[in-house]
Amino acid sequence: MSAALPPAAAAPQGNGLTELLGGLLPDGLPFWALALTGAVVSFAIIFAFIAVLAMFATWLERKVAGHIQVRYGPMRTGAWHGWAQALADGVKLLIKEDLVLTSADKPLFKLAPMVVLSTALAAFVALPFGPNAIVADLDLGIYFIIAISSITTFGVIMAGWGSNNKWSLYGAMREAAQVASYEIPLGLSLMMPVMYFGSLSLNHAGAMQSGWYGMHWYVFSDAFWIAIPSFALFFTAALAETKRAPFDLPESESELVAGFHTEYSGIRFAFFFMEEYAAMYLMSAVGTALWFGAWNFPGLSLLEGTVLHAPLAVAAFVTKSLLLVFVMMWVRWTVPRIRIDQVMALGYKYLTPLCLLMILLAASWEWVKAIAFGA
Amino acid sequence: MAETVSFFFFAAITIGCALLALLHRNVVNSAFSLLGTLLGLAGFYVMLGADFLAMTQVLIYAGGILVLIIFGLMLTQPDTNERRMGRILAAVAVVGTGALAFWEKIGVATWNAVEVAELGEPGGTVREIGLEFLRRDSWLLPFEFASIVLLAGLVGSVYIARRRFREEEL
Amino acid sequence: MATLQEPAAPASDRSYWGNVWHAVKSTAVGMGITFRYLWTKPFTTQYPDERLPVDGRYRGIHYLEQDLCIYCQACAKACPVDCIDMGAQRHGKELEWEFFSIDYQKCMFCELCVYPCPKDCIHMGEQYSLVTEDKSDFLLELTSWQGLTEEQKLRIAEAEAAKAAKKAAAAKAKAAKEAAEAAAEPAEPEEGKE
Repeated sequence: MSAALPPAAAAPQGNGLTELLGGLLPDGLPFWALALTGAVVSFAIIFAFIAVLAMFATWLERKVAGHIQVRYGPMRTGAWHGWAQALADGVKLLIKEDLVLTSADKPLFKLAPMVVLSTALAAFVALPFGPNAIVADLDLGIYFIIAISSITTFGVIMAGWGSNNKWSLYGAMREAAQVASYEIPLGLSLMMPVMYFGSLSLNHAGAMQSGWYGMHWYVFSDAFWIAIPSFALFFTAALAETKRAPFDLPESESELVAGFHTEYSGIRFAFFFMEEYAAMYLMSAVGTALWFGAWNFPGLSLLEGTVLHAPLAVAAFVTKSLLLVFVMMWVRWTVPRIRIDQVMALGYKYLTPLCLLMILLAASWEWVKAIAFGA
Repeated sequence: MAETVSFFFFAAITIGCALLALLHRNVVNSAFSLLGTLLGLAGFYVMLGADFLAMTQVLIYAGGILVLIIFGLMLTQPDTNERRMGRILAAVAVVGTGALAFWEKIGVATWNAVEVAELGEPGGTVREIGLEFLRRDSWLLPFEFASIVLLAGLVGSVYIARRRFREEEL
Repeated sequence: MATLQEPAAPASDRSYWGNVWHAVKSTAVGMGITFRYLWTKPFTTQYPDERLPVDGRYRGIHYLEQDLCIYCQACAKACPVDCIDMGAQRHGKELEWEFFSIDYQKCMFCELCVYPCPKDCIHMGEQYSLVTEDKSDFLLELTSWQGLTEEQKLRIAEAEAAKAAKKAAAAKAKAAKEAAEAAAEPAEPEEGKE
């Protein structure tokens, strides 16, 4: 297989999907056609997943918000606990008028939601949903996700500038300052599991946590005393990176109307909305893959070779990630929004030095293990 | 076939966005269009088998430096964002002269690109890069030297930022 | 020239690690509290399906004890916004109701219609939501029947019958009296003749 391929075409290298498609498509097709089909099918699957996920997550968020505030949340749409609320909202957003301001910078205004959503979609490529259920088993999986999601900032700044609205611009500038700062602790906090697994590949990390009948997760490993604080650091940085409360300054509705997406309506607003939930899920999935054993759960190894193995692995991964998404919502409805100087102080004075300290400890622990056990 | 198509695809993105950056009347829009140039370059790196370099390009340049450039432009006066046509022409002239001067080199690089791509190793390069950086007889000294230079820059910027407060306090 | 002030140091004597500990602890305590609340029974009610009981003095939409009402117009005269209108026919003591309507576009629930009622038959009710897509629906009819009920008809018939009987009795009495008079009369003229 040649390496000289664009990322999209190089994506389906050696995963189950390509093999499956290879069986379905007629023989004699050139490799690039197969790769292109794989890319399109992967894109369709990821997009469908994100759409369903965003709908479920908006419903969950409103239910969690409601019950934490001792009320019900949506109850009337759909028969059971307002389950169809997100569906109704989605249809409403699709058929709403797509407003573009006359004074907006039109190309930037129209491009921004696409940039934001496509980066979120691209990052899903490297997520390991199961042992073989990964769109592209990149050697640089974690690095790829961090790099791609850093472009999301760019889309947000585009939206803020393109809207030609002072609230949007303030939101975009806060986003730029905040996310550029928190990329450092986010990247550094991922170094602890990377050092433990000795690889940047998320698939590899998942495979390495399959021992102990599926309970050899990083948080239960010998380095648990590094894993737990490093997860706290990662999770805090991830909250800031995904603009979630208490770090939702870019869109703080009590100060900036809706921040960078004030002027968006209809489907373009829906793109921003989907991106927020996709980014939440993405960060939760990275946390799951590195700290909480990816797709492994006790008893999974017993099903090896059966039909149930892959679906159950995927279900375990999605469930664990959704639990972390729930924790993000739980934090949002607990902790009030903090000031921008506090955000900066937390990022630079606390998270970054603590991450460096944890890296030192993790490296020392690997060194001690190497000396003591000759691993 | 796929290589050629993707080469011209990335070349079109890179050059198109670079021209837009050069010719657009609005400085902020120029900065935004640089994103396409940087991502196109990252695509070239992937084609050459340098996945780590490509990701670093995206992370550092597109996600970091470009955001800082735009941040700086947004903080400046908006009425200075409109560029004069004369300056654009000057920029085109400078780049044109440079291109003419180095035409031979550019031509060689372009025609060798496809051959180099075929030489690229499939799979990851990050392990090799890490080992090379930390091997004593390889790139360890330059690597550490670069980190010291960056550290000096950081300390210097902190010192400058602190000193202003001190002076006004006195 | 305005000078940049160095931001004052936060008024906290906590150390660096004290701050870290404080942040972790306070977040954990707060999340514990919200987690407890997550599982408590919601305090709110599902409004259109279940409604909170209203206070006894609540001034909602009126209800009328139609059988007590005597069509005296006292409430309509008392109404400051003239929103009460009624119509009926009298059949002796019985009332043949045509309508008793209140226009809730005008009504302000002041309760002034309740006090002058001599029969205490109009009250402020408990119902407070009047949601409709058509303005004309705000003209609410308070009567539960129009025209004459069977009972009323019966009573009217009885009354008429009684009246008729009375009339008949009166006629009979008159006839008897006349007969008696007639019987007595011939003597007198004769007496008178003689």
